Amino acid sequence: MTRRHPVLAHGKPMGSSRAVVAVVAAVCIMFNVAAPLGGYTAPGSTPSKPLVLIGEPAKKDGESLWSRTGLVSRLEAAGYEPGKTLFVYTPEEPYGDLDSGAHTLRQVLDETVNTTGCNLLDVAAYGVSGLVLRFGVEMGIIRDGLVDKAIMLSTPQRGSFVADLLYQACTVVKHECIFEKQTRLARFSPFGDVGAALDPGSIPARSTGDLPGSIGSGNFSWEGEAWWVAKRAREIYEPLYSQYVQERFLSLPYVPVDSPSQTFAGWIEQKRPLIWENCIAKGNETPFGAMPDTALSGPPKAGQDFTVAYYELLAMAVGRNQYVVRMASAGSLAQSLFSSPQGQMPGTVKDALVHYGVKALLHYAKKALVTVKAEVQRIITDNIVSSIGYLDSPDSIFLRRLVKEEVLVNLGTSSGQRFYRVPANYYLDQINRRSSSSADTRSTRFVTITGRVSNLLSLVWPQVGPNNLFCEVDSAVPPQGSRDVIRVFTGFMSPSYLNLLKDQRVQESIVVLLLEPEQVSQLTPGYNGQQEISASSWQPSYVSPAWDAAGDKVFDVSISVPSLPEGWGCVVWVEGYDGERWLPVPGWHQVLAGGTRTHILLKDKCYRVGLRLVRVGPVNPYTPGGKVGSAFESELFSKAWISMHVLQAGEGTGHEDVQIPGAGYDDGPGSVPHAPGAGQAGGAGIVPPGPGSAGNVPGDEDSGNQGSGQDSAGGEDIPSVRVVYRSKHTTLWKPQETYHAYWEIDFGDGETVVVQGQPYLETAHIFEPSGRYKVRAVSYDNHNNVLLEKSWDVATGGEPEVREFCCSSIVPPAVQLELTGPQKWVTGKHALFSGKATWRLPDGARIIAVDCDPGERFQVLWERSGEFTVLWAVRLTIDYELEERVIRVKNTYVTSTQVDVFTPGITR
Amino acid sequence: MENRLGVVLRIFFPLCACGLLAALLVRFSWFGDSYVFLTIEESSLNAINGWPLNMPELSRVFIDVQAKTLVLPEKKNLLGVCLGVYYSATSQGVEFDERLILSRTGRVGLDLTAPASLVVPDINGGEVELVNNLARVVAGKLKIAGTRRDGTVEIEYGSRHITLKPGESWAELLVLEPGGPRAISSGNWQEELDRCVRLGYPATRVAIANRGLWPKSGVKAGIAGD
Repeated sequence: MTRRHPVLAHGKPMGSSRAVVAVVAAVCIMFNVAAPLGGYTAPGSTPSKPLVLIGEPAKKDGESLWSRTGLVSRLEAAGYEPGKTLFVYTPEEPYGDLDSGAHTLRQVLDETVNTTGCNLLDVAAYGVSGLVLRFGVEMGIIRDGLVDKAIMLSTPQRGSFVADLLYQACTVVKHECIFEKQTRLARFSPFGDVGAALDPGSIPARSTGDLPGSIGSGNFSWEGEAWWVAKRAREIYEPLYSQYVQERFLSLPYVPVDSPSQTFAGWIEQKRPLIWENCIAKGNETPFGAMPDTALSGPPKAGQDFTVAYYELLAMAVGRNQYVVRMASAGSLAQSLFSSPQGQMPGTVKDALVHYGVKALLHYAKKALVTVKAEVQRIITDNIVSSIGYLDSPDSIFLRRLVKEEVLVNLGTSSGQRFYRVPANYYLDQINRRSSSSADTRSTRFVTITGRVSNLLSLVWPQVGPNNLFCEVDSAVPPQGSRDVIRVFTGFMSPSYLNLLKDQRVQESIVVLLLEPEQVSQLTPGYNGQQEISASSWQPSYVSPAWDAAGDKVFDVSISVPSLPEGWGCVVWVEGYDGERWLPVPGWHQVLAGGTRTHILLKDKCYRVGLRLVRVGPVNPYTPGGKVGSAFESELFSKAWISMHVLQAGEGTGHEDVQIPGAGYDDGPGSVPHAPGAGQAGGAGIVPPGPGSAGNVPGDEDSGNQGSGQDSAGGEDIPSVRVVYRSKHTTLWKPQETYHAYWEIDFGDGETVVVQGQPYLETAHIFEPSGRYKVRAVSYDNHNNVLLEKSWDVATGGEPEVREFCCSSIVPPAVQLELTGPQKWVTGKHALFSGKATWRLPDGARIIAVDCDPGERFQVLWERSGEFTVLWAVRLTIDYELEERVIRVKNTYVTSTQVDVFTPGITR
Repeated sequence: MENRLGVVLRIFFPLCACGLLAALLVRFSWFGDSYVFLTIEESSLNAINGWPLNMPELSRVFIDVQAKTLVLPEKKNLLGVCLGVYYSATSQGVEFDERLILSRTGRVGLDLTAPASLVVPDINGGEVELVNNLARVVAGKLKIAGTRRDGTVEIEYGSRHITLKPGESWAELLVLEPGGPRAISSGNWQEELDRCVRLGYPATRVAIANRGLWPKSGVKAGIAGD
């Protein structure tokens, strides 16, 4: 069932079957009540695309949140027309799962396309609907290119700490209820008892936690999630908790601990490091192992979505709760009656009845409390869950999906180890990893809007970073593409979504994002000095030459980035206009570290350059010591300096050897770029980029350049090295040579000499008369290892004698390496290098094997500009046949060449 | 007569005030940039009837003994503070009371016999008390009677008088048996504790540690995100 709005401007249901339960309803005019516009003036642009507003699933009928907050009125004032360019959809039932929810939204959007005839939509989605929308876009459930801007408001993109809390609470309560039911008879029986926790002694100090060896594989014995958590809690964590309580809180003699705030998890980490290491630190995958990427197309089951470590944390919570409940339930009625501390014997029968009656009542009240508590907790969690529109029960799959990617476990340990980051929601993490890899090539621009309230939770819950009381700011931001936009608003008194959407700043921001064109800084042609551009962490900045005045010139645009804060980089990319919208040009994208620069050649007005600060460090950054920060809480700015070298037609680029790729545009935005407003500014008929005047084109068949990329490899299996950072080496082999270094000669008469070098040893010695001597010569290599040993027996007569000794050791070969390849290259294209090694061997030596790294011929693909060193290594395996033995050595030789790598521009 | 009284009053009260001020200044100068830090842990075997729903293991005060730092949720005025006492009460590892007391006089009173409370909602929206105060076995009130310049503290706990120099600690494990409270010796505490668990006897350990002189610069405010 889906909510239908009372009045449909396009009175056409969007589907008839259960599958098409969604109705995209035109916004009813009657909803647009009392939404003061507050002096707002509509932006100059009028809507060119329909806008679909998607709310969170709500179980109650009523006015949509978009209308209630006045956003609809504001959009109308900006030119949107209900039923024509503005549609509202509120799911009436929970989505079930991300996958099924995305299919529902796809139907809604398809129906909107059918209704309007427009193939490009803007969508604004609130809360979990934003996550479902993004999932649909990223997984291809919603057609790529259908959504231009996806505005997601207060969406838990990386999970919510509240969901984690709720899921843990539901798990603990579920297991407490199971425990309560299982022990009910024993607890209420006069002589029954719940039994003690397993003896902690059953877990040896060297135990690694008894995780089955098959865990992480499909052969893992798994009867169910609850079964697994209960098993781990009972066998490992409840006994350990018992030990923790005794050691930490009740032991004598008392030894003050260094970390009075240490928690059970911190105690395990410190006292049972093998268990911690094996079960938590290494438990990054699911019990059924890593999920293949293809599995993202279908929702995973329990055991495939959470990590082993998270299941251990759940078992830890269940285990300690079970210990406490067991202790509270301990003792039979007989024990309570006759072994109680107040053991005064009553004097009369009446006194005895009162005395023992009260005791029995207290005993059963205590037992009943366990039942009541379990039941109350179950009711509370059920009520909490059922009050949330997008959840249907504590076992809801959707609740699992909203658990955070990583949870911070409070260790409470001193010395900066207060928290430990544990991967939890493997499935969400995989989705976001996949999202990161495609963030700069997707057509849809993600717009994140969220609020931040005073971080009151941090007073009692230090793990929580800046948040809106439900979701941390950084968790509301999906993996960012360069063109995405973030807006974080503050100043709310409460986290209510109504407050966020009611806020005039938020509404205005939405309208501006939808209707206003991006600001583009025009670079003045002919000005060769540096111009300052501000790059932001929240939104892209654009730079374009002033084309109208530029005529038919080519611009060599140089972009320099100053030093940036730690964890940040500056991404530079090129966008092309496809006649309808700006889209990123594949391959024309690089991340600059602080203090670096890059070059881009621009020709044609259908292109522009974008800059933005991007996070290269972790989101939700955590500082040892307890502070959880935020990467996106506030907007970060940095200056970038742009300088242009204007090239006249036929003029060189100024980088004579720069090779400008023209190929590869077939992989572009889907069509040949057109100038914005083609025909208006003489930009019609822009041809696709091709080989230009500025240089040869890697990949261009006519160029015949040996470094022309993969095509030139002729289908050989040539190793390829991808270089992102300057620290990346094309080989990790180090130069290493083994050769004779020195001789140590013991003449057997007490005299020992060391002879440096001289692989061909020739020495003489005078021996005393009438003696027998054992002469020993040892050759050591350059690593002080014995290479060979030779001995002679010398017997002298009545006179002193001079004896000569000759011996050979290892002589290094003369090796020359030659590495050929381009001296200048461009990013995004493979450069071919070939190496050649020549050598001259000493007598008695022969080559056994020659190995090269990365290969005799190899390719390098740079993803950023700058000066790079290409290394090539050769390893020679040489056998030296000496007098009595054969010595085998492996020598490695390395050579290098410098390459200037540029970011190419676009040219004809 | 009146003149004499007036003279006495005119001299006596200013002298007293000066004396007090001088004593205060002396104490302030002793503890200008440091204070004595004391931890008092009350740990009971079975004083709690259940794990409160979804209560994470949290302390509002984070103590880093190695770095001699305290991390507090809010700023504190440490002017003249010479003694810091951190008291926590737990049972089965569940913390049901926590206090940080900063004293300018070097004296602190803690009534361990006062009932503690940890309330959870009941089925009708009312409240259920999870702490069983009868299962807290303490010897009486605890009082820090004095703090010396070298960091030594004088403690009165029940009828005991305890002196703890910096780095020293004291603990007592009391079990409530039919015959009354009994202190358990450190030699066989584990067996005794097992017996308490088996027979349902309450037991409580009170442990006091004098952590020594800590720098006031190590008291930090704000834990996260602010």
